[in-house]
Amino acid sequence: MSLRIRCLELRVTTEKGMFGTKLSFRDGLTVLRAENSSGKSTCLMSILYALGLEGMLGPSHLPPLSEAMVRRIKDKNDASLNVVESKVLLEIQNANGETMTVERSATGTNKQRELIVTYDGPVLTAPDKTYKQESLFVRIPGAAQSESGFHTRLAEFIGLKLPQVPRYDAQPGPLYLECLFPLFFIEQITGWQGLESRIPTHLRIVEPWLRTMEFLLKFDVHDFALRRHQLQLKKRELERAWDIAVHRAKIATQGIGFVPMGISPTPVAEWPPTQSPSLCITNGKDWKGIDEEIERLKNDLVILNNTPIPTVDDSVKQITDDLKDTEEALNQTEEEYESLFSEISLDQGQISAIENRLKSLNKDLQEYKDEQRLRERDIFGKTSIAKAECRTCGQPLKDSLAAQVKAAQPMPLLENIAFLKDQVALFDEMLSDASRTIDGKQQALISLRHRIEELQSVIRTQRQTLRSEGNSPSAAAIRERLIIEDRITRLESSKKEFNLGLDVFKELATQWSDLQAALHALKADNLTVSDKGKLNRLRESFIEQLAEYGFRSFEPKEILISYRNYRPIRDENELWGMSASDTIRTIWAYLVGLLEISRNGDTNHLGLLILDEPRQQSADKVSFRALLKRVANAGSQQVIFATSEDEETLKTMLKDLPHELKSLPKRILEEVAKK
Amino acid sequence: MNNQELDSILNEPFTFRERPTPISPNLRPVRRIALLLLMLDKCQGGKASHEQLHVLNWALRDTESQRALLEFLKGDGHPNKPIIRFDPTLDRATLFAEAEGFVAMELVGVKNGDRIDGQWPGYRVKLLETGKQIVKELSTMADCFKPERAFLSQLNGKFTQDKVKNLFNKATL
Repeated sequence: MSLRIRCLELRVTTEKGMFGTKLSFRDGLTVLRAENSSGKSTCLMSILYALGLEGMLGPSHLPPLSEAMVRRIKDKNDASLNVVESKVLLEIQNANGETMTVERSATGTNKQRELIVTYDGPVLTAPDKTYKQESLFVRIPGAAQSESGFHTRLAEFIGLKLPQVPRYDAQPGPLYLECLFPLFFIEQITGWQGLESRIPTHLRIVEPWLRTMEFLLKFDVHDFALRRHQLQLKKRELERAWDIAVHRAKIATQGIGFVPMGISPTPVAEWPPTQSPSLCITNGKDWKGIDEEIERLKNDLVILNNTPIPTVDDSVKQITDDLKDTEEALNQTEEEYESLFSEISLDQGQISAIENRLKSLNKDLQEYKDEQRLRERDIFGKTSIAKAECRTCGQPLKDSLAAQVKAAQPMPLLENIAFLKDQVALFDEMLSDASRTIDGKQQALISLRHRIEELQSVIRTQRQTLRSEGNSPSAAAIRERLIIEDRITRLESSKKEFNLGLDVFKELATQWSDLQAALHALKADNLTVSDKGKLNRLRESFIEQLAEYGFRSFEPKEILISYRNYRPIRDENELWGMSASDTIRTIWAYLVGLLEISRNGDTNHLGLLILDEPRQQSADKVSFRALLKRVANAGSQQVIFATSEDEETLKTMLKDLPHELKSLPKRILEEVAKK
Repeated sequence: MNNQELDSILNEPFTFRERPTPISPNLRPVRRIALLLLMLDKCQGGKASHEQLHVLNWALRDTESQRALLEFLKGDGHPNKPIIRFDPTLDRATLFAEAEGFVAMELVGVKNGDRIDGQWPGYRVKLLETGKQIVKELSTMADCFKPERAFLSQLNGKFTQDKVKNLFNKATL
């Protein structure tokens, strides 16, 4: 894909005749030379404006054009004339050699300026033919996605497939062209302040710089992002499946008063766990396993079966005593149940208090980390605020916004962060401890409930036996046997079902383990070999250029391009402490580097670089000549420079370099004769 | 401990040393001044009244108040007006920022020493060029002020002086 600027025309209609200019551009290096305030910046801005890209400068809807284009223009006698109407026409060409012309009005209402007329041919260089014409919109919602949006059309013309990226406000949206163009077009006013800061934030894309660079360099990272997204979905799915399996295990054993132990409530990779899962029952204090209980019941049954069933008369005394015992046991169990129940509600209150405290501690910690980042970035530089002293009298101030006299001596920042971290760890521990306790208690509560039901049923039979005829066999004795038999059957079937259910956990644990490995692999290496290759090539070009441009702040070889944020770094830190001229040199080198690596590399660079007044005053003449030499190799790419450098000096600098030098008149917008 | 031991301890000279205390991050000037500049940047023309700033400052504190403010801004004359908490530390942060030349206090409602009809004089806080530079610098720090920035970006120019007046004005009910 590529984009070339072919021809630009500005037309201004005033009350007394027309003004305008027309410039054509070829491939390779073009240098526009003109005096200061002659209108060359207006020409370059018009290119941006014609493409509907002024949103990259900020959210304003006013055209970024000079007074002469929108309000008042001076004629050759310095008389001021009102602008009635003005417009910009731009002819552009794509990689297939197709040409499109766009036309946009610079005057009129916002609504009128939101309209761009496109022609499917070179209207400016071959005006005699007729071309298909279309009206499209810019700067309105949907202009980058809908059929009638100009940026949809422009991206298609250039051959860019813009990816979907996460946004702050809603669903993912497209990466806008406004994010991309700051790397192709450097305007005079804010263009030389930095790299990342120029990617617009008002479009509410999350981490716009990273997304823009990843797209521009055609990284595989984008696919990684999608893959990570899929794995996250899979993770959620597994967590749900695990949750269901745990729930099933609980239901399977609910009816028998046993609770499953040793199953993690959240997925684990290791199965079976060190303490293998089992079914247990409690009497409120001690826990007993299901096998032990079945064994005991079977023994009891053998003893009972070996004694004959007594008649009611024989056993009245025995049953009366038993009944008393059972009733006492029931009372006691009910009391235990009540007290455990209120204990649990108290614990729950405790847990929610811990959770609240943790939430606010974590928020404080997050805010302190921000503060630390601000300090590391040295955001307030050498101000009194950074030095914590009074701006007026220079006395030391406490690092606090509380009233200075009353404020206690605040902890140093890092100490305070460590303190908060300790607190978070402590409360985390308290929370997991309290949750564990409450879990155990809840399971005990279920067991007690079942014990109560059992005792109630025993009491019913014992009373019934006492009321029945004297010589009939004791129903209580028979029932006792039946209960035991029935209980053994139910316990055994529940155990079987529980063990079958465990197989599911084994399967889930294997999947979970694979998933963790896949996620880990993604985390360990975000960039592919090919991605890193591109960044390494960018670095080579970058440091080679810095050396040529006479970068002096430190040894260019010490600079790397970060694999994390794609910015130049030194000793793991952002570049800082550079002279103003070296800052300009790094911006030149980075932008030209991007252009150079796209010559043979597989990137989404448009092969176009437009630089307005590249601040050669801040650097020196040698650097500027080196820069010109470097970009003169543009070949089939296009580099457009605008400068007010003295013409003779320029000619010397450009000697022997392939280029085109256009010297522009003192006033670029000239009066044109009426046709 | 017998009386003799106690006396010997009490007769020794005492030294009291103040230990540094952990404080809320909301009391740290650097963070709060940076936030103040970010808030101002979101107000029209980089200017805001004290009321406006206090409302934003209150909203930034937790997600519940953020939701309440956005809700209020969405519907005109919402019956459930949030209760705004005024925070004296914001005023101190503003004074620090003014001393440093990041912001200026503009007197409004006064012309040639006289009160403008229908207005009461008051101060407005205005973001100055040095302050704007810092906002610009902050905008490159993607991992800093994430939740705060996400909230501010939702305001979207909707947070005007008139809206704030409504918040405090019973007559709109």
